[in-house]
Amino acid sequence: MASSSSSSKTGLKKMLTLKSSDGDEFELEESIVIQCQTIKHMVEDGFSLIPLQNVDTKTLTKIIEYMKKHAEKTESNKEEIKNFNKEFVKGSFDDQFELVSAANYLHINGLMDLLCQSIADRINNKSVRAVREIFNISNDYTPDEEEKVRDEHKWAHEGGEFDESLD
Amino acid sequence: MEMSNNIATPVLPPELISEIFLRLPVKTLLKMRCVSKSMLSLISSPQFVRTHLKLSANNQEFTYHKLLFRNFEYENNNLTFYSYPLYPTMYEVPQHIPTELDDFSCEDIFGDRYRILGSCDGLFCISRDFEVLFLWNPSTRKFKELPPSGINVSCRENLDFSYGFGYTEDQSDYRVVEIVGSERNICYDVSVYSLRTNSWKRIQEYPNIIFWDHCGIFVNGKIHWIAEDRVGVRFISSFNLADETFGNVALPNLNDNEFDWEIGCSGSNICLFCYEENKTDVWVTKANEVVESWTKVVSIPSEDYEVFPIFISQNNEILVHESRSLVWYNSRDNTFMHPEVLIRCESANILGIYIESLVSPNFLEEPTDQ
Repeated sequence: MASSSSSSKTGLKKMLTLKSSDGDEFELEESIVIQCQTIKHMVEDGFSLIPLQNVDTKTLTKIIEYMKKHAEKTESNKEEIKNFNKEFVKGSFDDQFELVSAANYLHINGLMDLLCQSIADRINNKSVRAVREIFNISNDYTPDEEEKVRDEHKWAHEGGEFDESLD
Repeated sequence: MEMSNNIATPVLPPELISEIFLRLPVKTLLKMRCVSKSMLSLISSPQFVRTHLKLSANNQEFTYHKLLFRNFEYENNNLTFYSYPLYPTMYEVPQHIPTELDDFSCEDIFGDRYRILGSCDGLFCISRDFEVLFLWNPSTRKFKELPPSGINVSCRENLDFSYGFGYTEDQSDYRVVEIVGSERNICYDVSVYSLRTNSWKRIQEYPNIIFWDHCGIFVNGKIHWIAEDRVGVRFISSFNLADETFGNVALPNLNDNEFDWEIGCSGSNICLFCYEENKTDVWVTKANEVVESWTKVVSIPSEDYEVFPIFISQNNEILVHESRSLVWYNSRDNTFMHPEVLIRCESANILGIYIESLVSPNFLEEPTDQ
């Protein structure tokens, strides 16, 4: 199988093509794409056209944006990357969930961590009811059961108003 | 609940919900137990609790490190515990109000009935009058009284006690060690409590030495105390919680052995604080390595007061308390930084540092829906 290191020796940039679930193709340098463990393994197996059946064009565009930026990471642009990350996680919950599913499927550890932490930060002060709706989790407690669970840590439900909004 | 007909709501698979919830603080997770039965069992599962603890411990901003304080009001004999986050003291961010932890609020005539004997993974082992032991998690505010160790309470007054508290990875068990010393302080009885079995057992083989420390320091599966053998040589005695055997760690080689020593920990290293008249030296070693591996990392100058280290950051910045305040000492440029902390900082009031965790002091706590 072709070794991924051969390209750098000749100075030619080895290109790969990613194909979204909508059929759109994106050509990228291999050095950018190997941040993603799933693709890295496929490259090692000799693939150069990589179909991503679980990732639509919209999500893939965002993920490529992330990988391109993070491929530029050096010691001197830490602040720039930090600001990029801050902007990157600003979308709606639905967008963030699409991204986190794709990042998980593609095994991009840094992106997984960034997204999970930003979603956690956003739900940190949400009410129980808002969290159910955001994650679409149905409440299977009876009112009595729920009150019992609440009473075990009553103080955790106190201390200021919890955010009921869903965004 | 209203669902739109056109837009499919993405429902994340359980493993991704778990990944997100692992990054929430303890208080929020306790609140989220009410979301559904499956969320309750996720948050209560031992695997989730351990992974959450590891993530919190490795947090680079020390978001989940808390200082534990006590405040005793002589006017009404009231003892209260408080927690205070570490990071505002490091970054000089706006002041935080200490969180009152009300479990142990109690009548306490001398203000010293409750003593911290050790801590590990956000759990504290506490004694009341050295008679009754508790495990307490200040983050979940749950505590448990331990069964008596079997030492006859009526003769306790003539005895000397040393304790240790830690976790053994092999058996996934929290354990308390109680060492009983005779009138001359020579060790003559050792018992170990297991949270898993909720019972004590006697240890048959132990060294005939004097344990100087009442509270051992837990590092890397072992509890450490400063001890002295029968010919007066001081060293560190260690107790391995997994195989329940004692071992030794030699102190660093110094010209004079007459210093005042104290053990501490920094991550997975043992630290040694050596108090002298005008400075406190901080030595660090990797656990269980040979004597040569001790290195003096910092020497903290102190004019007319002693400084007591509380926490060492990766770049050897040290949080200490001196007389009435908390101070960060930076060894690189020899500077002191005085964070503003809205709580009385007399040395007796600062009890230690811990990582917020969901670890339950009741080992067999089952989810409430079962």
